[in-house]
Amino acid sequence: MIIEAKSVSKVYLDVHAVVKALEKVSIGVREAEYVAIVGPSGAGKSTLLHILGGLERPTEGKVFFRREDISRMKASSIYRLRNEHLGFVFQFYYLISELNVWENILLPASIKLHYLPQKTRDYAEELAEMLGLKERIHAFPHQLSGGEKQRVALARALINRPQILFCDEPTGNLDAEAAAIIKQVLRDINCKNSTTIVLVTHNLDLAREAERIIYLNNGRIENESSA
Amino acid sequence: MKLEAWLAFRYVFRNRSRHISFISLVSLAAVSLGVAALVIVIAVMSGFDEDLKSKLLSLNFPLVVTLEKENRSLVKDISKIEGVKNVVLFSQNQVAIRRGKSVYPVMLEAVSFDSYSLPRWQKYLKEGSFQKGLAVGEGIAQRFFLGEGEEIQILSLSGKKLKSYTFRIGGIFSVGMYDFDNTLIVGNFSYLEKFLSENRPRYYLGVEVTRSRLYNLEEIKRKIASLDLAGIIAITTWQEQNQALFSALKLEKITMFIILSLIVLVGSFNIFSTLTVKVVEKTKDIGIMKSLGLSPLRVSAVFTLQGIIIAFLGVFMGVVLGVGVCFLLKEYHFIHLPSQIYYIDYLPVLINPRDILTISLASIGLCIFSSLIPSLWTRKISESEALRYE
Repeated sequence: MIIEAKSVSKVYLDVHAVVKALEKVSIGVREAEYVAIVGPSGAGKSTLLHILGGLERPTEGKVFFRREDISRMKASSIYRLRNEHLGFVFQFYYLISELNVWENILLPASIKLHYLPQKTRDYAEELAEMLGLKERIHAFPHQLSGGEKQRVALARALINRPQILFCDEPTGNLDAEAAAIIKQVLRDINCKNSTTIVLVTHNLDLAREAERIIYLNNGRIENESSA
Repeated sequence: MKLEAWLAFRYVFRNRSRHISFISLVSLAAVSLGVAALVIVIAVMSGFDEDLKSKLLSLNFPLVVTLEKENRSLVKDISKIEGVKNVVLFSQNQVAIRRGKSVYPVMLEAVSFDSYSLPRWQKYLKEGSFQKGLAVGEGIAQRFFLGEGEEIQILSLSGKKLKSYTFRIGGIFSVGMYDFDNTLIVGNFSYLEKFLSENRPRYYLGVEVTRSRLYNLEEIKRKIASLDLAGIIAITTWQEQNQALFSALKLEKITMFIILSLIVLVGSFNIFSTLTVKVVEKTKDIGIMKSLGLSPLRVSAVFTLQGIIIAFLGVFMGVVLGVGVCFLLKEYHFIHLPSQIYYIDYLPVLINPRDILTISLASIGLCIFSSLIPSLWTRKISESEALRYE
């Protein structure tokens, strides 16, 4: 298993109530596997994705990345792990509006390295080419369409060659045409680069691309199906 | 630090229209104006200070020795002391001018207009000459409608008797200081010989020192005292003579610095509010930067550096603006002062690099401090929370 959650629970303390987002969820993802997590709103999909990606810590249970418990890891190690081994794509792209496409793509590499080697720049160019952004590298986020923004976010997530790509509703804000491009790109990344993909989506068409679909409801895994 | 500085630079200078963001501009302007105001006011105050000192030193002596009686031998002895440039004997007598029915108190000073003393006075001469009779201050001349060649009557109390002397006016001088121009009458020893012999003036020795000793007169003072302790009543330095004035000027300068620092403080509050708004506005960016692996410390550095960029740029622009205005004030004297009130008819300016450095460092320090708090708030923003909802 490249990543594994063991009996993970997450409780949020609200002003009015205690919200149980996840309840003893256990999940394992194999190397180069493409997994989709589906379920109704409020089922705990994004929380599970965030916990698997080290964006938040579980209230209970453990999360292992290559057998290392990341739920107890030092904060500095978590940041390094996210930068070097994990990639994230979110529904609302979250591009930095002051940076152009090229700079947004290279941002994770700039966090990792003080000086960007030519091979990183070449790879950024390769990604821009692959995602159809080559003509748009000088454009700023406000000059891009939703589909283009998501492709920039995808390129940014891939620049450090992550072992796992976490996608939270990557097509949630896109039209059918743009969503189809993202679907194809994710499939290619998984097949050609052997990048593990953990995807949270409402889009069943996109989920069907995955090798395994996990159905989450009320913070528990209700069902699992393989393609 | 390269990435953090680059990101900070982008946040300050690039918004959608690729220009400096409006809120950054407001902070920048606030800091610049505050610093410029400080630079100008402190330079003007230093200018007044310096002008006053130079005026005081041009006619007053750095050291004045009050003598028991006329003692010309002491002149030679004091001249030999290291650091002493020249020694001049002069006398002063409190007298009064009588013109018609009015009587006006003045100080009659007797000096020897030799090759050393004359040039000191000559630059203030407005009309006539110092050698042809008494020279009166411009204020006295205006008060009594006096001109060169006219006669004036001087009343002096000699013992219990009031004696009257008639002198001719040889010239009129204008020092530009109220005290000098309105209360001083000067004459040569030889011209006032009769008057001096019949009255009992107080004799003084004016001691001129080298420039390096101007602010360190204690040693010379001690050496003079050891020459003739019995014949010397007092030795006073120019700072002691004008202590109240200099203390007031210093206090005023400090007060102005503190008051005007409040403008910079307001400017630094602007940085604080700008960065606070930016932290709120850029919560998603903070979340994404953290999710991409930029540690909280590095994220807060991005925001602190924005404050530092605004601070440095604001201080730089403020110094340039302030020094520019000071330069124009110095060159063109476009602000006029009523000379009757202020002893000078323009704003004097002295740009002291040490003052500029103090203002710059204090302003930068304030601005950096103001940017620290919002920057530290970024550490509390959870990447998970920031990215969860749009």
